[in-house]
Amino acid sequence: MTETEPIVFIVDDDASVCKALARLIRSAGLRVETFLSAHDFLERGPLNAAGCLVLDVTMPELNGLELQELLSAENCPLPIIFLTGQANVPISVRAMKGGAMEFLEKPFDDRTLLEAIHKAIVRSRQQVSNYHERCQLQQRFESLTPRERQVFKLVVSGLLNKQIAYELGIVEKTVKVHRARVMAKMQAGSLAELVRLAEKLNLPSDQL
Amino acid sequence: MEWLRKFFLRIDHYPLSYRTLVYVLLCSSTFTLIATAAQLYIEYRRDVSNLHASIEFIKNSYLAPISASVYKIDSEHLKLQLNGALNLTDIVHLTVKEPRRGRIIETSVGDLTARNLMRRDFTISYSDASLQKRNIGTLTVSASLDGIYQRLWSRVLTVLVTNAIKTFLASAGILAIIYWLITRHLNQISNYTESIHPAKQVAPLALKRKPLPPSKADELDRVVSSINALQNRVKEDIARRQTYQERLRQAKQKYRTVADYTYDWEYWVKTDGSLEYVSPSCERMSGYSVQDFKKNPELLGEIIVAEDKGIWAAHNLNREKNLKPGELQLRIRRKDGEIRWIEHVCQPVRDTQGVLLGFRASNRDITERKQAELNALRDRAELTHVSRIATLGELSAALAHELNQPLTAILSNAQAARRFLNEEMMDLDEVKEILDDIINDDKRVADMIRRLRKLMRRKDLEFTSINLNQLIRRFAELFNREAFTKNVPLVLELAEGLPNVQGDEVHLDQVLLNLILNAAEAMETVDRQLKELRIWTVKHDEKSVRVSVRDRGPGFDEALIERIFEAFWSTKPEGMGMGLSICKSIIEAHGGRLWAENNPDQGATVSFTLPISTGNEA
Repeated sequence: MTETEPIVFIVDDDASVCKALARLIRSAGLRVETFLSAHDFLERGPLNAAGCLVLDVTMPELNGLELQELLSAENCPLPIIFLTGQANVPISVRAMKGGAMEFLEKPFDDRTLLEAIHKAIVRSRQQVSNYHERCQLQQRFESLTPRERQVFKLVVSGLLNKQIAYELGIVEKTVKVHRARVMAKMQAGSLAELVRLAEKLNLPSDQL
Repeated sequence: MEWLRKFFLRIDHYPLSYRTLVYVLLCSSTFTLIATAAQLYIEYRRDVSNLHASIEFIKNSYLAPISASVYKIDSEHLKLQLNGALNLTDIVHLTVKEPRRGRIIETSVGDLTARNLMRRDFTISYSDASLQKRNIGTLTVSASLDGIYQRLWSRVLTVLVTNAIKTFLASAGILAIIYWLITRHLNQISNYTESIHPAKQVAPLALKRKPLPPSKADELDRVVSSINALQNRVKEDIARRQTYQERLRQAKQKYRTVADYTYDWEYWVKTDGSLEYVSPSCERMSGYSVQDFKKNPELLGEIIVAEDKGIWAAHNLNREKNLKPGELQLRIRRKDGEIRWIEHVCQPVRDTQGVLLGFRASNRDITERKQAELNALRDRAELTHVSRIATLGELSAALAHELNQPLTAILSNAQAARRFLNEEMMDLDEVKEILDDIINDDKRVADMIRRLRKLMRRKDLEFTSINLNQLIRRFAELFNREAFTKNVPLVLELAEGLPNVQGDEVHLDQVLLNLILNAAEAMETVDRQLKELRIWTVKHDEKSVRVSVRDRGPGFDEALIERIFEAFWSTKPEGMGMGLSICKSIIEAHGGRLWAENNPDQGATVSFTLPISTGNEA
């Protein structure tokens, strides 16, 4: 999945801007999809491919920033390049804090936009691959039994088997068995790798 | 003789006495002459008859003795007898002729030198014893009338002299009497009447004589009393007239003072065009003196500036029309060249019979007021402009966005096109499409900039015939964007066949902009689904078209709805409070009306009317 062609999504209420941007981005050899409103974009469906979102801040009904919040809440990995007709500090700060890649003031040079898009796509690819990895890890993690998850958490927190046995009130031998299963299920070759996977999972403590 | 000379000199002073005297003299002389002539005639007749008597006497008494003497030839005796007869009055000559023996013996006494003789012959006869009468001679008696004439003459002289003396004395007496009784009083009266003078207090006239009892008053007394009465009447009359004159003078002074001290320039022009009165304030206003205006009654018309001369001429053609105050305003060029504004009012002046006496006019210097008006107008235009700029300033972010959209599209299109051209396989159709888009976007920007420049430009009201629907549609095209109307859908309901209105496009744009922004702002807190901004046009009445802008916001506070059009009244913390007040003044300058009302359901509607232009229909 990571090899799928990245898509650049353009959301701008101005049809002619949409059309022109689409041409420009297409001229750089990228796949483009345009939307005249945030709602149209949201209706499009799964967005887990690599790519980026070129988003106009000022739009009727749902504006750019509101869309960013919605996407961020849905954990959408798409990097966002904001476009604005008005350089407004509070809006740009809000956008950048919300994780925007770039904040471009209209009108902008083609190279500026395309560089930002390329950068965003690189990041998106990364994010998409991270996403997929995390999805795999998640699947692996979800295959663990509750006891194995407990052991997993305590192992990556740096406790010795003995200590884990004491914590869980079981014998050390049982801990060793669980630990071996965890290593196998999580496909971790070493304790260090297991710790790295745990970090990637970034598990909320209540899941443990 | 000195007194006589004096007397004749004085005659000039007493012509009446002199004339009286002359008439009296003439009359008395005439009567005297007639009487004297009559008397003389009678005396002449008596003398003549006496003469005849003397001759008869000689005939009767002397003829017989003389006959006897002649008969006896007693010459002695005869002579004696003849001399005796000669002694009789006026008998001057006696001759006895007796023929004796062939000759005539003549015996004469007296002489015959006297003229005017009268002769009588008597026959001397003698009667003898036989009583036969025998003529023995003739007696011739000659009497002279000279004596009679002489006596007559001396009598004439006597009568004339005595009558002359008598007449002179009588005249002198008459003169003195006339002088004493009449002339001196007449002189006194004339001197007195001459001395009568309104300024002098003169005692009543009293004649210098012993006063007569009223019952015996003569003509002079009547003259005196009537002169005194006349003098009293004249005195009273003069006093009354003086009172009237004083009152009149005071009244004149009073009105003159009122007129002369008027601040405005008052004047009264008579029907012949001359000036009856000009108040001195004309000099303060025009720099020309009262004399200048009196000398040249047309001066006012001449100093009116060329641009206003037409108004003045039109007014002069119909001066009887009642002017409303402020209706006629003109500029005049003062003597020193300065231009002043005056307001002119006038009205016809008529006497009690309704005859036109001219026109009373008043010019008021309204330069200061006019200046203030002009300043206020300029200030209002300035304020309108500032407010418009401020509104646009508030919209600058939105405007930048709206301008940047097409610019972005153009730039991106152009850059895309360049990239396509760099490629080996370029799609000409695509490039053509790009160019079309670029052209359209460019036009869009240009249109917007043109419109913005129009709104930014400072401009006085300039009325043209405007299709209001078209104006609103174009306006909505430009401003019906999220950036401006804050997510408010704009709904237009424009009446078909709406007549054109008289208006200024930019100022009407400003009104629409303000009303739309206000309406949009009013709905900021309203749910997105409920937001709606509706603009509709309708023919309000025969003369005007109405535009209404309706929002679905909270509406106006009913208690304050009247105050929202006041300047510096704002419900917005950052508002200048000029928007609605300026909209109102713009619409009123168009001759329309702007008002606000709350909707029965929700929100408020602001409406304005504009007069239908007299031109064609939309």
